[in-house]
Amino acid sequence: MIGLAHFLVLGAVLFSIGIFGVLTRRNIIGILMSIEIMFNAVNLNLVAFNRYLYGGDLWGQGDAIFVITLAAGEAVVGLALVLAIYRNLKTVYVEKMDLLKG
Amino acid sequence: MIESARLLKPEIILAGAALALLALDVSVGRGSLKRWALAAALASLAAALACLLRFPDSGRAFGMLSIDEFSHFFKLVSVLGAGLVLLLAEDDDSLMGGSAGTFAGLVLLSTVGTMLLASAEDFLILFVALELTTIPLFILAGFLRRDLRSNEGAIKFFLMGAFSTGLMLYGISFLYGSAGSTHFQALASVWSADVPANRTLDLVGLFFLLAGLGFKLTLVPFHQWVPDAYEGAPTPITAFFAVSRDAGVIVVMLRLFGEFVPIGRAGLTDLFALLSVLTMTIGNLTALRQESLKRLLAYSSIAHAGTLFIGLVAANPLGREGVMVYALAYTLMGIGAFAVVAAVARIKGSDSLEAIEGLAGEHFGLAMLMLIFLLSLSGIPPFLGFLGKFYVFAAAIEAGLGWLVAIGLLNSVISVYYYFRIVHKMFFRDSRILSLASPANWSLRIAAGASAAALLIFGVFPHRIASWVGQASRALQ
Repeated sequence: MIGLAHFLVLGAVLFSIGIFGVLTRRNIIGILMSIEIMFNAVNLNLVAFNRYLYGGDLWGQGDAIFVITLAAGEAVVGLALVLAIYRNLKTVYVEKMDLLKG
Repeated sequence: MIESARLLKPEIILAGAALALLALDVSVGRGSLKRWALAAALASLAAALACLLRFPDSGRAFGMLSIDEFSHFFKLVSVLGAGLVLLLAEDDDSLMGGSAGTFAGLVLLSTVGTMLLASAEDFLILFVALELTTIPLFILAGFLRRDLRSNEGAIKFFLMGAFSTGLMLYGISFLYGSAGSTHFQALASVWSADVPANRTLDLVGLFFLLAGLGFKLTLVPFHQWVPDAYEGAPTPITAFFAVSRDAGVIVVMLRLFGEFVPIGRAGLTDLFALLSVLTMTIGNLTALRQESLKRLLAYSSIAHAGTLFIGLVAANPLGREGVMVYALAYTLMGIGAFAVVAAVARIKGSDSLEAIEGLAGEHFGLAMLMLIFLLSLSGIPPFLGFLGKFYVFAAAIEAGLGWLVAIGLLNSVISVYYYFRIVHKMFFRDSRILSLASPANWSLRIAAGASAAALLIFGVFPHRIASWVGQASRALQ
């Protein structure tokens, strides 16, 4: 029988994959995708908690909708910034972005 | 519904104006755009200010936002900050040129987010308001599309910002799982229950929530993005960065940890004190060896976040008042200092420390303004910066955290060194860089002059502001 714990473990695994990706990827697009995986882990958690513990209301699912919407907005801005930097630098690898330091 | 909307009048005015301004770019001719955009944005800020001052309503909007005198104070600070930043940007054609409507609109939208943060009482609103604050800031940081430094600062800011939002949300999902609601109140009942409940979920949730908020608060293990974003962003936006932190994020934390989850009972006092010490010390020590004015002020801003945080660690009414005074003071002196940096960068074409050498000989007024801001930043009386530090240190002593005050004072001494390094260069060195352009324009002079005057007046006559924050902080509990 699949229960709440299964979903939470899957969420934790997804979240860890996301963090690992953010820390190790050098391609900005890869980092963005990893961040999206983190957001999806959050959504899974919210919906699973809602379904298994608080079946009487829809707060968790509603929250997940907000997360999805704002993540999309954030991704739009992120991709626009990536586009701007690609036009100037002709690369999307973070190690090439070393102008600011100290 | 109507009642809630009435309570949120200032936010609604600003959001409406912001959306209109975003549409302005495409509908008004380029020539008159800048004048219109600036006038409209300042008018909407004035309207919001009038609403806040004339009709200080209090109540609960949508059951998620607490409108009270406490939030009013911080809303005033953020409106003030936005107005000053728009004045700073007035003469900058790369910001207030062809896309002036977008620029002013984004500044207003970010301000609305900060104002909602000051009222937030629910994790959902906390998340939405935080995004509303930071997403416009990502765009503003990268506003100079052809400037590589602006691109780079913005992308680093964005990646860290989105990552920290992910951490925060993961924490919120656990807090929801444990309480069944995203309202702060639900969390309060978990901690106040006499039965020792299983708090594993809540502790995991709080841990991730704090990590996420730590990024926005520029606390030390999470501060790496700050100098890059500050240096890369256009200078008026650099001045704007700290407003959302000082008038938004710290307010949510004051609300959450002051009213709902007592820091002491959650066993967080030591952790918070440690974060504060690390932030002050590392910020100040790194600022010592900076050669760029913007970067130096960025690290000093991190150090100030640490001092501001002491008010939260103290967890008493005096600490709350301290955060209020400190937030107002840092908004004025931070924006003021960056205003002078913007003027210097225009005159000399550089924002390195070298560029400010000999400023007193060439532009005495600017040098005197900078002197006032630096004195206030280093916490020397009679300026408001001193009052802010005095309040948070007094609160920490009242809470029995004398050692924290000692470290804070030591840090103030360190900061005096690098602030006076700037003063020394301004007054006792000769300029080695040729001036390019004419000095600062009227709006920048007004913004910097008004900030300096306010710092001095509030600093010399503290009783007025003391009674104000004393009354406002009582709105919390």
